[in-house]
Amino acid sequence: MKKYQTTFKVALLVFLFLLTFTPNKFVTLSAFLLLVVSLSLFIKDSRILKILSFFIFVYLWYLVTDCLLLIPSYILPSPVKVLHIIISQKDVIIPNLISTLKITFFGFTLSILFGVSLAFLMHLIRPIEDFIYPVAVISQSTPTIAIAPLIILWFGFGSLPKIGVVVWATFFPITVNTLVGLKSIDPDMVDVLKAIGAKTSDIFKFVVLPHTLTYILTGIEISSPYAILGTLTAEWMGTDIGMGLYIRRSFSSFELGQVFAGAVIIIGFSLITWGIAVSLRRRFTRYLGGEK
Amino acid sequence: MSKVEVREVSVYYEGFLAVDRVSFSLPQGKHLAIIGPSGCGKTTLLKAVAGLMPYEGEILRPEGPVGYMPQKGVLLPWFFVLKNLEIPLLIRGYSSKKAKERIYPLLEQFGLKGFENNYPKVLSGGMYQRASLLRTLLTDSKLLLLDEPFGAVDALNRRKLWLYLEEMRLKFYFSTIMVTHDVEEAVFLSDIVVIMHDYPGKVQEIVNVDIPHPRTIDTLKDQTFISTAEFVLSQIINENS
Repeated sequence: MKKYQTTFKVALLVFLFLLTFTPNKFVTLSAFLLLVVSLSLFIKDSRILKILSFFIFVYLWYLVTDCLLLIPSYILPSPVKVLHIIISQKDVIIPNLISTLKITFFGFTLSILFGVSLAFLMHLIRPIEDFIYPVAVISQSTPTIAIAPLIILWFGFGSLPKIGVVVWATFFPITVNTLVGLKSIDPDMVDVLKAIGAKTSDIFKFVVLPHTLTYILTGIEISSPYAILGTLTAEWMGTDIGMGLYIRRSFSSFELGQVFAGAVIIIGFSLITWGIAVSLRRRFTRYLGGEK
Repeated sequence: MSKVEVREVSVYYEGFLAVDRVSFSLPQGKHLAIIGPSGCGKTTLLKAVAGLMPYEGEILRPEGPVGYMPQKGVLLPWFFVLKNLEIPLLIRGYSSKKAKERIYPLLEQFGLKGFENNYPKVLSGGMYQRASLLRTLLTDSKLLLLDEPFGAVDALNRRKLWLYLEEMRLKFYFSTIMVTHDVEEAVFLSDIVVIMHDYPGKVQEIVNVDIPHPRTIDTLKDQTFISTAEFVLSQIINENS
């Protein structure tokens, strides 16, 4: 019985999928909706659904552009066209991309170092927390888009001001999370070690660092999508190379396909950065579930 | 110098007088329990004895590391059980290899064999407390300060752990000062019961328990045990009514 059920489900899905290729807009979109609903009902594993949602999104994009011609390509280029542009323009894109990724990497690394050190400083010296915290909040309330041109204006077109913008855009969640971690250390754990005669370095190694690491990694996870966006904003404001420049130039010459190509690449790398951050955090928090 | 003397000790906790001129003395190899209602400064007093809090007055205790076991045991959740047990040795300059050599033979006695390479999260309540107790013991301090060591354990396992602690005392010869609010636990596990009352924490009465060690499950039916426990309870109830 169960076997037949599976066969039926697969058949239904295939049928709905094929139905989306009919030239009738109403039938196609209804079939698409039914397909999404049945997929979400049939598949119980939420991880598979999450991955599927990405493909469904791209498929819908394909349907409304190339298939049904609902949206003209000068408003929304189709995914096939975007892919085509990425491949045909790879010689232009790659140097720009490398520059962007470099800035992002150095900026984000510096941001982590800065964010974590700032939190430790704030935790150890109370007046510093009182002074810095409001300033840090103000810094986060200032739109990057407003501060980036100023930083470029003050410090020129080199890499350094762009790295500065990335730090500006990403350090705060790291600092706040690290601070929360430092404040939530169980004093009993420290007391046990102190009673034995532990040095400050022992307490740091055995309690402070392992406890705070989880929080630092959560901060990194939250900030990670903003790292590449920070670079992009800086590049948008003024630079001679980078994906920000590529997208801006494409936009100025109404090459919407290239704008989308740039955007898709950026989204891809943002997801990769975020994925690395998430897997790192999971790796170091397995003990919470007792899992080895 | 291996006994404990607490003379006229006062401790302030966050600006309030939490412990007010408390005195008691514990001879070598004997066991003491501090009992009283919540908020009478028991934990604060224990921390002062452990040297973890500033105090007024005089506390004499053996030099060197102190085995302090806080409420709920607090093993470090990010390390395996084995690493948790190594820590008191590592802090005192043991190499990891030497530390393991000392720990392995003890694992069986403490019912932890097979669980050493797991995170503390997977241990049952009783095992968790035994692991905490072993970690405290591995400080090699002859004075163990236990803050409600079995408070988080259910009533059945709690009695098993009493007998267990009693057995370990014979093997490893250490003194304990324990904080509890369980009258039976206090009387069963100690030679001296210090009854405290609250606001601020003061000694109300010191009761001696004249029952020889090792105490067993039959001790619970012993006439001296029953009458001492009743006396302690009546003292606590009288004060608070």
